[in-house]
Amino acid sequence: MSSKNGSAGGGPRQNLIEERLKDVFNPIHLDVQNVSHGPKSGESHFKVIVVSEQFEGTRLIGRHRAINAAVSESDGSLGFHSLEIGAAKTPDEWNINSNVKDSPKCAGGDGRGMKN
Amino acid sequence: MIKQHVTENPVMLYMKGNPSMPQCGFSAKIVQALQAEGVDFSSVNVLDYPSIRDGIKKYSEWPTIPQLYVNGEFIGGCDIVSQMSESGELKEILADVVKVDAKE
Repeated sequence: MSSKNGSAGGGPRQNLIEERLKDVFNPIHLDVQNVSHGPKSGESHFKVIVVSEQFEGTRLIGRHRAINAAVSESDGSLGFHSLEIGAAKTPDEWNINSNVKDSPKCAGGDGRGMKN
Repeated sequence: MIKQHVTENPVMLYMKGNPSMPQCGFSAKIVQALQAEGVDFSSVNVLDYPSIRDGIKKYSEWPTIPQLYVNGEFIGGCDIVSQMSESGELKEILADVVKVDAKE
């Protein structure tokens, strides 16, 4: 288990996301990043990287659905603005390629951040 | 209404803003991926239609925007489409659309 941004210092939402992902996927590598723009304490945007044997034999969309479900509230909503799945890989896939692309800027959803 | 949208438009994108002026970086990235394939696509700006913004999330059981549909099938959000673009899968899926069009 490795976690770059471990629970120490994470907000309540971040800790909850980490706990849920650990419970469901028993990942060999888990990274939950608070990528909220504005105050980090807003905990509005997260990026997660999950490497788990449970993804074996599952297509990408199934993996993303499983992560969405694990993180979401019981009504199916996220409970926060945005969840980016930087990677959802099996250990073998992760060993071959552990690059995770940089995120685009959300820009708030109203274009605030898109203007030059 | 959403079901009608996604079946009548072979490549349908639900996004924030419009393709020439996306209002969110994730929407912008998915537009770039589609444009790179040179495919015609329809889009709905969910910021203009709050009911679609909520409805589409329930329709696909997917919690975030943007969302791409091809031939009525939910393909994924920005992360999935970007990875499919790199792997060449997106091209394959869109090639099917072109064939469907040609038949008509």
